[in-house]
Amino acid sequence: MIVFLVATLTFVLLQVAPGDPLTRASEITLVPQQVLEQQRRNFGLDRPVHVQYARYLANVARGDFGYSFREHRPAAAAIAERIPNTLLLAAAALVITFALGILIGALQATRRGSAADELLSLTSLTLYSMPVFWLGVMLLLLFGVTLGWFPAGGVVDDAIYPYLSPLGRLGNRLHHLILPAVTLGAVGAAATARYQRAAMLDVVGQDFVRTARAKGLRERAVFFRHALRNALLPVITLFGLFFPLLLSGSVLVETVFAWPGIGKLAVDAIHGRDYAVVTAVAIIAAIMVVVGNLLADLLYRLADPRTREAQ
Amino acid sequence: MTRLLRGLWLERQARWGLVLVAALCGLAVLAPWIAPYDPAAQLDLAQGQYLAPSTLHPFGTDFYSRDLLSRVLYGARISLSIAFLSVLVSITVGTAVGMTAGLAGGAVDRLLMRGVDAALAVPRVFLLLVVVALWEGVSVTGLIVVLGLTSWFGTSRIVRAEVLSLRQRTYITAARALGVGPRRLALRHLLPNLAAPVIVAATLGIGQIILIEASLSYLGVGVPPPTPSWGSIIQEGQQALAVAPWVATFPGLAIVATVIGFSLLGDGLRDTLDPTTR
Amino acid sequence: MKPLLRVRGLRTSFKTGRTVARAVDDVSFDLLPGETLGIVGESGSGKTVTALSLLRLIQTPPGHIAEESVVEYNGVNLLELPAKELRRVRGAEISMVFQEPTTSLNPVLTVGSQIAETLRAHRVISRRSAAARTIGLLRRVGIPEPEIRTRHYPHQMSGGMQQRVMIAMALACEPKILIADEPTTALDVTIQAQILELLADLKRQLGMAMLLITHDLGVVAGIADRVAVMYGGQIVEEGPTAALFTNPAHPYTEALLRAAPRLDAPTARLPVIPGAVPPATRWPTGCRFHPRCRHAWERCTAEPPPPLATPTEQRARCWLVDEPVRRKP
Repeated sequence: MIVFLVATLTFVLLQVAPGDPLTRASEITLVPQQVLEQQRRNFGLDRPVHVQYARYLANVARGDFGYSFREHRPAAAAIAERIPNTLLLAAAALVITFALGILIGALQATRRGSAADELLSLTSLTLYSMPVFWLGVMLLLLFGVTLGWFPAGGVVDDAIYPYLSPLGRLGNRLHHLILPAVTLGAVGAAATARYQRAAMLDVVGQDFVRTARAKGLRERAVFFRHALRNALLPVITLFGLFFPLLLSGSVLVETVFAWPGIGKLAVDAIHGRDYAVVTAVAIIAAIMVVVGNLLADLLYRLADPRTREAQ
Repeated sequence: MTRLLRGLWLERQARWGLVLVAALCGLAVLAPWIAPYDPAAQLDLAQGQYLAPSTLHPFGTDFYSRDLLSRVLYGARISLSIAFLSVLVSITVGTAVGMTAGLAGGAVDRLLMRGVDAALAVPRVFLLLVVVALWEGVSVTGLIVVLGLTSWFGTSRIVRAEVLSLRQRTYITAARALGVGPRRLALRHLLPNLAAPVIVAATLGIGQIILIEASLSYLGVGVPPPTPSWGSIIQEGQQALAVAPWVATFPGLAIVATVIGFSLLGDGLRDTLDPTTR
Repeated sequence: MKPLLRVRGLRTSFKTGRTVARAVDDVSFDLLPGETLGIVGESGSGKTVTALSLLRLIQTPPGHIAEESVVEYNGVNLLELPAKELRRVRGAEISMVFQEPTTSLNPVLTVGSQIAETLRAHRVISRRSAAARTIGLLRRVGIPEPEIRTRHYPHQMSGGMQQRVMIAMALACEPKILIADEPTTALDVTIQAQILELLADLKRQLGMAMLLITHDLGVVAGIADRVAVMYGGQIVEEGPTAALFTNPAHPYTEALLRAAPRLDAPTARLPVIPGAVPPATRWPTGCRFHPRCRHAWERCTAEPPPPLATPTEQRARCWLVDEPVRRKP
């Protein structure tokens, strides 16, 4: 449903935008007018709008997003090449977001009102109010430029990568991954920590936590088995909401760190008016969001027995 | 109004928010008088390129030897006005849609809210990127409209929820029983009660729009080049990160301060305007 | 007989902002082995806080138990016990059943695992035998098909069943004392009787002592050996159930008895006690009940009465015990 809507929306936007895909191509390559007309007919651009729309939907459904004039190959191929990079970055960021966010939020809740709690609250508010790309630039400045601990961008060192051992390759990849992943994960972690703290404080005051204590359980068991498990429920719903944010964020982070994922691809495609790629990325992004939401639902169902009623 | 201000002042965090927001708005409004230089003036191209911060140029200068402090101050003007006007658009649309959905109910409500759910699932920067980029060189007005039209979804949800709960209240039922027409009911009885949540949403929304506008400008599809915008200054600064780190640093700090200010103020407003959420 | 639990001068206060609420203020009582002591009082009288303070289940802060308070179990002051040793008492020697079974059970864990968890916290016992014992416990508290029920989550059970689970959990390690805090208040009237009966039965079988906290005099009349009446954070009267019911020494007890509906002598209207319980932040000077007491005279407003022994084996915080002639007809 959402995927269909996005596909339609992109189509409409492309239709109302000035110029058509070939205008730009002609600007670059200086093709004769007749060839251009011929090309237009080939791509069906001379047909009425509704015919184009139907063809477009059919093509999209088949996974055919059209031809990229910038890359000189089908858009789908260009995207397929970049997707693993984006997924790697997003997955690493998600891990950081939730691992760090949940840990910090829960920790804050147990030391409510302490200096550490106040400091962490202030930190997460600041991170939360920070443009993700600026955070990236600043981390790059500190750890990349000034300290020289991490590379300035890219996925691997192209010059030496082919000569590295498998382990060295993995290390090289990780080395490149850390800064972008931390950047993308930090803002989410801040939001998660705020949420987790509130959820935890809510749960800690509840009767069943008192019951757990009255049973003589260790504080650790009370904390992890009883309090944290219940406090995770509202955070899991965040998981689904994070996917759109994560994709928006990866557009920026990929640009900052020259990370060759679909976000960077989209930005480049937009600047180069490469519509096939723009459309394709928009639709892929929509699919990712939908999958993310399904995942969140699934997780929630696993975590909360009350939603499992109809099994 | 004075009561509201006093209420905000009494809360530590809201007070900080109020101070930050007032200071930034003041700076933005007074930028032409405060700024030490013309933000577009290329002071001394030969020797003034990338000067480190000094008493002459507190924030340093950029590639074109322009004074960064002046550019950041003028950037505040641009970023804040865009944010204010976009939020105006977004709360107007959001309130209208939310009220329609809440009052109409039934199929209209379901359709509108389903649409909002779908819209909320779309990565926002992504969507904006596509929209803005397709019209090459969007004007500032266009940017405001587009930003406003893509950020009302949350507001409409809040308004709808509020309308639904207000509808249950006895005085609305009483007014309806007295034969008050639906239009009058909406305008005279509902709208004033919606003010509090909408103001809170608007305040928090300003911070969000500032972040998004900065992102677009950073990506080169926001405010068009000669005009200084925080996002585009950062983008320029990244090119010279090793040589002149201050160019990227200061506008970012300005963004953080602004967004924190509006967050604190928004949270404070929520606590003061609506005692039930405490 | 040596008391199993000896409470002396228990004071628990809550600090909110600048005000301090003295929710429990100088409470002393003994609980003998195998006996049932009923603690009765209105909401706000401090009875639940008393119960929670015994096992230090009060959230601190804002709560605070005064240092000189004593809660002695088997000669050991629980209030001074290190956390690790206190943990060995909780759930093993002294257990609790709470008012709201629905919120007192963890919604995301099966009832079986919540009971087994108690066993495993105090006994060296394998997972399998803990599960087997759990089923036995569920059967013992009258849950049908315990083998199936053990795998259910709390929300799949009725309130009465949930409370039975809570009881099974509390009895898992065969404690010496069971503290039941309004165990039937949240339940339907018909279920209430069943749960009370179950508690009384199990108490007899296991030979444990029980502290039954309730606002309902009818509940204690049925099963308590002795009754303590709380008002204003203090025990205002305490004594054997029969004596206290037939010869209430404190005007508050008297008023409570008169306000309780009686099946044997139905009256058209129940008398009410005039006024309301004062807030724990500002107790009245002198006797805490004096603003609502029809017998009160100068001494009551000036001097707080200590617990005084009555001829009928009760102890009451009332100057009337000292000066019976002041009692108005």
